[in-house]
Amino acid sequence: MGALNNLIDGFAAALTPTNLFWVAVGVVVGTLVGILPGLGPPATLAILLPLTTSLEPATGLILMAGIYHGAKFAGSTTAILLNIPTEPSSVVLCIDGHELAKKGRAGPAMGMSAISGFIASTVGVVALTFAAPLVAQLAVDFGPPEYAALMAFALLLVIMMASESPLKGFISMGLGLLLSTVGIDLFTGQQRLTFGSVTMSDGIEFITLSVGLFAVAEVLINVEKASGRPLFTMPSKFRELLPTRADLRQSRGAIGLGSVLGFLVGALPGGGSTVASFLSYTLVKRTSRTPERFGKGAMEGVAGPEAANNSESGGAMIPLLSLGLPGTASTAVMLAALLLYGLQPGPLLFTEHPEIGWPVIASLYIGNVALLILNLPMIPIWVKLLKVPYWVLYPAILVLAVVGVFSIRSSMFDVVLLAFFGLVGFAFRKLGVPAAPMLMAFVLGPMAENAVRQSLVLSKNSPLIFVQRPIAAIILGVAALAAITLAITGKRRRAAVRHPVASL
Amino acid sequence: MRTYFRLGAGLAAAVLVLGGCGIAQRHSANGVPSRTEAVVHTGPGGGSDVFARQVVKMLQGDKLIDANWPVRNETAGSGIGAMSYLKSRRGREDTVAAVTPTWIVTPLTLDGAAVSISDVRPIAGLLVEPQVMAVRADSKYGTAADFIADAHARPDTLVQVGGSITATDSLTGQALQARTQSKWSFLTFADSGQRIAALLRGDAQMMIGSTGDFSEQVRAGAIRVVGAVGDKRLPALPDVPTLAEEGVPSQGLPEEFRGFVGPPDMPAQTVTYYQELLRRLTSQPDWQKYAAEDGDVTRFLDAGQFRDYLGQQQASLKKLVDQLGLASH
Repeated sequence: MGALNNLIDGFAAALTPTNLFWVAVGVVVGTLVGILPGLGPPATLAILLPLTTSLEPATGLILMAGIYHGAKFAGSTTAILLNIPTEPSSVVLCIDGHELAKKGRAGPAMGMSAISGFIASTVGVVALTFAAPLVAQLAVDFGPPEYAALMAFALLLVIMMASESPLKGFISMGLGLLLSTVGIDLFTGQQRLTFGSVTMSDGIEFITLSVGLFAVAEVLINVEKASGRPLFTMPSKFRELLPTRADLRQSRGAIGLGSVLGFLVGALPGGGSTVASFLSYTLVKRTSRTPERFGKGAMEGVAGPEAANNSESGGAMIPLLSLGLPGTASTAVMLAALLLYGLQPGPLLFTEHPEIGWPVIASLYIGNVALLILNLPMIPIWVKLLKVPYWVLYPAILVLAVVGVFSIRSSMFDVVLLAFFGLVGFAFRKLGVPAAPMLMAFVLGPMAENAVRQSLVLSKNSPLIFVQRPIAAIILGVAALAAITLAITGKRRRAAVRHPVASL
Repeated sequence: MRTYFRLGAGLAAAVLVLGGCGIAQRHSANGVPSRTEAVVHTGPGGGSDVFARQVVKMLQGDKLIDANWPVRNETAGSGIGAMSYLKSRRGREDTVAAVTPTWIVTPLTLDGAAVSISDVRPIAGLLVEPQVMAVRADSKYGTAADFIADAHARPDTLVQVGGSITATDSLTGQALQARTQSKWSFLTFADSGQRIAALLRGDAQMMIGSTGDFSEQVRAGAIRVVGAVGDKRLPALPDVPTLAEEGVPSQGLPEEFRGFVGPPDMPAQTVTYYQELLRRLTSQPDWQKYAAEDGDVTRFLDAGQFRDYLGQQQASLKKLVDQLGLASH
């Protein structure tokens, strides 16, 4: 059990008083900086990179782990409290998390986010220690055709998500796919839908779209109906600020599903926490016995994606550890730190420098524990944010949104786009069109397009490649089954609504 | 009210962080700026970003500079954003930027680009990352010529994996195909980890990249380097034959270089200051160790030489881009 011994050594090296001090500093700083939209974990890490590299390697990396988890938690905090998704992986939290906040359950939602994240990273670290060789093979075997199949499945799930009205979901998804094609095409170097503008050549920033559709639209909707009454129900007792036993029991399955899914998706090079959290949300909803509660404040809608979001970092360490391939943006920044310490990341890093590699894994876990310990008691303070009167809160949200969007690439054009997407989001709410499919399609679209085109390069334009490779064929088979099931149950459910007596 | 204060404090802090970059001394008495920022066109962890951070760290370690130079990531438009930023800092002393061939190629391929490499002030060239051709360790190709011969015999069956169609690896591959009347496909991945994975999986048979892209995989025995692109053997890989030795014409292929430039109209004495700073850096032991580890070749060019070099590279890249039909005009 070499891996286990190494991990124990890693923990021993990471758990010094100095390191614990720095991980606590990291969690607090990460949380504070991460509140700004646009400053997700990778950007926060990058800003603080000079600080971390002036410390000992193990200490610097553990500080980064603290910052990473702090920034992640800040992302879920602003999503739940203010409907501002500050990073792509916290978008799904807006759907149910913010609804919970409106019902006066912001505290339990935040607590659930921290607890499910903690459980999932435990799963992630354990799986990393014991299942790494198996999953590493998957990371290599998963090529463009397999990705294309996975994306087809994911887009199908996006339509399924909007089960109340598949047509509206489809429209929203189509718009998201369209927006995702804006910019320079990597394959041909050609510009698409940029209207000759250099500003558009990098495409539309995810944060601009998501903050516009969610946060700005939310402000507009509420300003329209604001009549001075409080928007949020405030809990009066401290115990109401934490998830109840019933919440935890209800979310058990979602946490389990999210943990496994996040770990596997994280291990795929280029997978990342956004895909992990999206897939987890839709799967948790589809497998729920009461999918109609989702979107109206279901606790599992917070627990599932947050679990996936956190076990993903364990999975992402696998291609890094066994193959020397960074999987996600955040691991790429950690790689940059390794380079600055004069360490060459690669397949041999963990065998030649176990004194660095294993403490990194241990510190990711310690970062998560520190987050739980430091931030659970802070939840009541965060929740008080909702007591701020709306005439202070809304301008503050708009300022945060504008500053955050502007900070990404210092572009005034992005601020105009933000306002535009705010209006689009407002119109969507009025027309009952769900915004989430649009955002998910925006993220998944380029991945799907790239994977399909890469596959066709490999097969000389023969579409048979998608069924000739076993993993791709299996995923497509599952997707087809899901589509058929959906068609049948959907029809039955609609029939049941129309003829309630007959269905008895 | 406490939370409101918190929010306000957070906002104020954010504004300070964002605005702080703009507040800097405009002119100094002796052309030596007090606080310099290093602009890069990649995101954190990207090639230029890591390079600039390494240079700053070594400059500090060698006591050549006192203060830390913050790195500024201007990632818009693959170099366009960074060049536009430099242009907006016209005449300033406290801004330098790490430059790569991307800065030349992007304006050539982008319709309506308002900036080009001629707009910035060359300071110094530092190194060249020699390009090599690599295959999976168990590949049947022993040399680069084997691969090219196979691609000639079976056109459009082999696959090269790499980055964007306009990146150095792609342009090099295209030029080699044109010169050897062979034909292979190009598989694009934005992420470098996925490129290596595609090679390991066997989806692609060949990859062109810098020595540093492969060194760890080569040491681990997963990937093999079969040829050095160019006509000189590499100090890091003395046993690897060059394309020229194999009879593959390799004159004037694009080079992956790294250097520094400043904003337009940077005062001459400031240019000299940075140029000498970087010249001294390249003779330090830690620089040489750094370059050797990555398999890079140090090639210091002063401001004048670097200007000429950039001009030559621009001319040859333009020719390639035109041949490939990627040009914007």
